[in-house]
Amino acid sequence: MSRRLKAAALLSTALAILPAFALDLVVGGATPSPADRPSTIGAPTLKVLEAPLILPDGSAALGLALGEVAPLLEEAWRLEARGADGTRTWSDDALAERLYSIYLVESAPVTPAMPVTPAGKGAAAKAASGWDLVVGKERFRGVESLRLVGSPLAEDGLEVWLSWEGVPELKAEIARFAAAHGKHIKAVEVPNTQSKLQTVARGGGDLPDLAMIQSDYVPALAGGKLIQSVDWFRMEELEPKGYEAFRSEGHSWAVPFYYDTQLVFYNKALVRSAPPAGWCLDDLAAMARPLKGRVKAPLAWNVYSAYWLLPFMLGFGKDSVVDPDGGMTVDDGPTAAALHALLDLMKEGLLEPAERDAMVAWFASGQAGFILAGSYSIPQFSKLGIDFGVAPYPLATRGGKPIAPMLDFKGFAVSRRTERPVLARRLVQALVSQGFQTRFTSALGKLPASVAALENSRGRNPWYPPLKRSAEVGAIVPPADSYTVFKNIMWKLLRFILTGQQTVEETLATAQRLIDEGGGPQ
Amino acid sequence: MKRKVLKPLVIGLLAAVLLAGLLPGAGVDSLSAASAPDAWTIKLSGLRTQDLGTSYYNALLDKYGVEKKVDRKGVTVTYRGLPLRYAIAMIDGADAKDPFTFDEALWKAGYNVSLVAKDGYTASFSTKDTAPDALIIATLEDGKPVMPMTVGDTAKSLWVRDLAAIETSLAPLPAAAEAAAFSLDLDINGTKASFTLADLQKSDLYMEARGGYTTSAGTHYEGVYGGVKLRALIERYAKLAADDSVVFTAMDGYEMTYSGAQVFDEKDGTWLLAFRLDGDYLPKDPGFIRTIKAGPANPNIDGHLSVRMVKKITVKQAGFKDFSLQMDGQMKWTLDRSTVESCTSCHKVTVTFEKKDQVDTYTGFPAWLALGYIDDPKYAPHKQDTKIAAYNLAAAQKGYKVDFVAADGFTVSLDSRDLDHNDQVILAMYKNGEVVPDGEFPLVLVWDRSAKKVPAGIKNVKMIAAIKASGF
Repeated sequence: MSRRLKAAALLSTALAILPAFALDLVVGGATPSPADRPSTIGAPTLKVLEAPLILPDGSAALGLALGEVAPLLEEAWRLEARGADGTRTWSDDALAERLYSIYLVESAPVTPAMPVTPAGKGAAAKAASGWDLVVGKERFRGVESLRLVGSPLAEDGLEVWLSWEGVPELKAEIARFAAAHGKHIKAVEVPNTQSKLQTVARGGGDLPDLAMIQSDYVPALAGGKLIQSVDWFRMEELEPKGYEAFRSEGHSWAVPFYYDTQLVFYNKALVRSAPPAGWCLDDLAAMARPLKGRVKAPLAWNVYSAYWLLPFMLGFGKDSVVDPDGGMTVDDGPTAAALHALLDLMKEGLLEPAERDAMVAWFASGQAGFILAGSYSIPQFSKLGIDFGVAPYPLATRGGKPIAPMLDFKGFAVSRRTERPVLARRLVQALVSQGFQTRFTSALGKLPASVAALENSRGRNPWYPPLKRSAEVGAIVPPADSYTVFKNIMWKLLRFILTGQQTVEETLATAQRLIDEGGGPQ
Repeated sequence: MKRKVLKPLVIGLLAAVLLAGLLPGAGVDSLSAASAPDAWTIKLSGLRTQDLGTSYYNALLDKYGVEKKVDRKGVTVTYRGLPLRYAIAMIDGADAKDPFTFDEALWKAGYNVSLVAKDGYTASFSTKDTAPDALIIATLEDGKPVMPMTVGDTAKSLWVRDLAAIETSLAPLPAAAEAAAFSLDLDINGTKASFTLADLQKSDLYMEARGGYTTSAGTHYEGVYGGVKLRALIERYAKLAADDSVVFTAMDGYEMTYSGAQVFDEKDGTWLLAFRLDGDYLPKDPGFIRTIKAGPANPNIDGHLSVRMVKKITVKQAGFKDFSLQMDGQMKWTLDRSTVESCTSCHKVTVTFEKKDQVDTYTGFPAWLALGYIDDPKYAPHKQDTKIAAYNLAAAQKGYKVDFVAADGFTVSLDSRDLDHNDQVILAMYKNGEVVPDGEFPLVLVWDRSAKKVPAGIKNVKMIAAIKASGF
């Protein structure tokens, strides 16, 4: 056995929580030995790390995940706690995977409904440490010491490729994680990770260990053997639609990180009252009509883009974005109805097609009343000082189906050739943990993949109601080749309809033929 | 008779099945593995691909099996298995049969090995950093059978349970393989050529310069593009005219046409078939090849003019007319214009034809070559192994009737014996350097005025639509 392995076998982690809000951290062996490495985390540090949390039983508390203070472990298989409730041991071969789902929270008064361990019955009064340990729905009160048995993680030298909004914040978080654990992690901003991964693979270069991707990258990257299935990664706290967004060929290919949704933004200087709950497309038109002639565009969005058309296709009756056979259908009634509805808005002079830059410029200058934009626009518009309101997409028709916003998930994919799979996983666990997700997404107006983090923002995030509603009714961007084909073809053909060069039906028939030829249903 | 044949066949099959337990090879292992209840297969990929199945594994295990004691959660566990090198040996060279030779020098030089579990978990290591015997593929854990797993003197992340595949960087990733297999196809007025990306990279027409495009949304993208000069590449095959059409066909079937005048418009930069951007090769989408303008002035074009994923470029002369030639004999064929043009390019013959004191030069290909398509029930030019003669010489020398049929039905019948290897009787597409005029288009039967052998009964046939052979 190598020297390094001997050391690994000896090491484990012990945490001792002492009274007066201090945490002693001891790294030791499978059984207590002189090789144990104790350290103490003082109450101030714990207080800095603590944040509002939603616990597995749905209750709220102030605290932190055990993963935030435990050292990085290659694996862990036993957790021993001692405290006011006596002693308690949890054995789990996958314990190291759960450390961000185990919480240290400030002690709360005992309520009859709160389950306590048998050893702890009648001992609540002794919860002198001020901290409770929450494992699943079980709460171990007044924890004084923790012993975590496992082996330390030797992997080092991780490279992560980041993209989209929030890269500086992510880099800062990754740097904090690296410093806390004495690891070297290189975080690089890459504008298009799919393209770069393919390019580097083609040239035989070094691939990163982790890369942020979006769902429609999956077919090319998985098919290209550039990323590995993450079926082994499961955090129950993550949004199920997020897993679906990266699921292809029966496997999950990325861990969902956050997502954006599409919203209706309205300029409060032009639109005095908020759209009513349960509003429909006719209501939107009615609210926009008084702006006709007063502004350049009562309504504006990127009608040229298939991505912005899809919600209307769903609202006008399509059951799903991708057909059960993996193809996409566009020469159907819902798609035609959606396009006719949009054309009607244009013919009436209400809707002005505009791609993002023009649309935002009009909105910021008070020349557009309503726009459709991504949730990532919230911080941008706030920064610009625009007085705006946000509403979920309306129903397509009164009492009908919702125009379902696209849920554009971003996730972390693990390279198929990583030599640091565990360190990559530990970093991802930290980034999808409730604490970080709450901090990161609320700052950037994004929806966290962590369900608890989204719930945590209720009452704190003024945009929570429309975001939550959009998350509920939204449809994921499908991780399917046919979607990419659809997007490319419709991007080229939609302008024929919008400029009146071809009828809706003619164009959709052509689009369908091209989609079928170019990778639609086989 | 059948029984006599069957007996050795059965014996042979039994022998094969017995050998399957001892010898590896594609298909053999899977045959025996299928009969074992705990059969498994590990897919190996490197310079070759091979399956490692239970029977061959067990045969190797008997000979080379080792034990490893490792610490697992504070407990010493003993594993028995086959050193990884024996699996790697199956794919690290060209040898495809047992005994496989492990290439230790290659291992030391370094390549990536990825261990893939059934659930997709994949851990990799560089062979430079790991001894060939550090890991074993174990199937016994403290004496009890387990599904194959890697374990040994390495980080535990490389201890992969339920091992499903071992992949190495000796096998190119699909992206690299696809790029290597990609070709750009040219069809310049019927002349065809293909280039790999490597060909284009080496071309003297390759250049790098800054360029960009702006989408209809107003977003501008630019960078240093590398690619070959479009106009110069086309003009290696034919002079481009302003009113010619240059049709780009993308890998997804999309087509866009530039006029020759657009290609000539290089005031602000050179049109490139670009396949590199800022030093990196373009990925399949928007590459492998896209059109862009680049040059010192950093030209900027409309996004829709930058054709992505270019697969084929077809240049059509102004007034380009398509045609087909019906061939009917022992087989039937329809030859399209590009096939006829290609034939002309490869077998070009120019004759001086005289008719009613009018002398013209015609260019085409010997008429007897066309007979190869219809003189045999099985074989035709370019439709078979090149070792098989495309032309049925025996039939031609025996004699059969060949009808040259014009679009208006005018027909001239000749004897194959007069046409056989007679290079001075041709089917011409060009007259005095131009495509034959309308009254003769698309093909004309002509012969050189000083031909050694002028077929009996031959007449000038214009507007040829079909060639028929009969009387074999």
